Amino acid sequence: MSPPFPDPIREAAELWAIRLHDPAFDDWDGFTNWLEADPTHNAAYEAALGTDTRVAELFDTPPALAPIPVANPPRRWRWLAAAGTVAAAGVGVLAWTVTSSDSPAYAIQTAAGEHRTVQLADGSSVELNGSTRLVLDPDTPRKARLDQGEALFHVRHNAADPFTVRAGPTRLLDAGTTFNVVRDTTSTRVAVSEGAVIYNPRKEAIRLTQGQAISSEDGRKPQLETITTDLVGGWRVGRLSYTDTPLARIASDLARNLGKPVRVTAEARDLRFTGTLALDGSPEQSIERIAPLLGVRAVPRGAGWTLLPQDRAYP
Amino acid sequence: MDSGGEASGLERVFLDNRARLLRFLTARGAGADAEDVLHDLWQRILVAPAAPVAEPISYLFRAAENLMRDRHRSAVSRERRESEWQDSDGEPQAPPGGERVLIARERLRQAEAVLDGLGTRAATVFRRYRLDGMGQAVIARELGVSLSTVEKDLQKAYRALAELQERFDAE
Repeated sequence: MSPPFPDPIREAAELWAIRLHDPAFDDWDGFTNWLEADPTHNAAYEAALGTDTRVAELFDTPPALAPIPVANPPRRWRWLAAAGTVAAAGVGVLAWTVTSSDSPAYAIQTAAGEHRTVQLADGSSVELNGSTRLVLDPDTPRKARLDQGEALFHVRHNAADPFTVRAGPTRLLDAGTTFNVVRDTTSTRVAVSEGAVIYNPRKEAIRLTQGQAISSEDGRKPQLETITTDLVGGWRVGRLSYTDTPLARIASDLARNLGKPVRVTAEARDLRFTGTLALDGSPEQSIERIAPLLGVRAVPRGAGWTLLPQDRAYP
Repeated sequence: MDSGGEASGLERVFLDNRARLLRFLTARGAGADAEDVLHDLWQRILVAPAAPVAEPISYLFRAAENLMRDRHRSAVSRERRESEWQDSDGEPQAPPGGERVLIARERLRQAEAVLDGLGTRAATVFRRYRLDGMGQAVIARELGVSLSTVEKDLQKAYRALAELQERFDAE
């Protein structure tokens, strides 16, 4: 694929790839000078980046064998105890059918507007927003699947057994971290507030570090964004922050956080908003305050609202 | 230094460093398209959140680097799509799920063995950096070695693992 480069060039390219990989890298003029010194340098650098991606793939595997019950009872027991606590706390815990496994996976489903924290046996925890469904399997305690909704993961890192999260077709591999994941019907959003996450290790293999976010419609190219880390997981304190975000996405966040259906008319779907929305008081008070900020009117419809452009009289 | 008004801080840094960024993009593979890529970068800055950026110059270069990676990635997948189109009969059959998991685990085990074969320090450096997400400077401090030693250790690990990956590809 890549032409063989003379050893000194290859070596220099590898070192530049390693240096640039570090978020603290700042010798951009030095790098530019090296690139300019020879026309093959950039191609050698691209080849080194390719190697980096391929090497990352080696570590993107289902590494831990499922714990063998007899050999490792305490771990398993603790996990089941945790599941028991969740059930007692009144969250719907539904049995989930899986094949070739001796312990069923569980779907933890929060009601609209409900917030819930789930402790995992390894010391990790997951904070769930309303209308969220998270699937956990005691046989694979370092994996979670977010089917729907929003969750903030606080992962206890273990290099030998990385934590993975699936959300639709998206896979996330933790590299020591706190990160927020939103799964809508056909899209996934990830924001990292601490440490790093590898986004789709087998495909794009994008390393998201603190202050970065990514959003992707299923099957489309993901979009990288820069975010303010303090605002990650802001939903826990009723703060939703956006940068040039389409109203369709904001409406689905509002529905999850207010616990009421929020719809958008076709004309309003693509309106965009940048800023922070505060959810204080009742859902009615919140939506009344928020709608003008979004440039829309909120018209009561059924149990919730429909958002329509301010200049339209009827939805 | 005076940041000159918070809203336009990053924009000002961009304008002050326009020539440097253009030089970088040109050398980084954009060639004659460098002006277009720079314009793309400018558009992104205009919609970026107004949050303060600690190292605005690095931030801009990093954004430029990412744009070039995106361009390269889409060029590569375009080529791949085109070549797959040409020989769509020869597509290799992926092994079934269970077998794939076993292969992946076996490969991971071999990768760990390759790392351990590099010696304790190089293996530690690689794991700390690549799997724990620690910065190179932090690792250098923790292990009491120079930054360039950390870089060389990482290079050694990448090379060894890349060779292993090539062997897997040949299987």
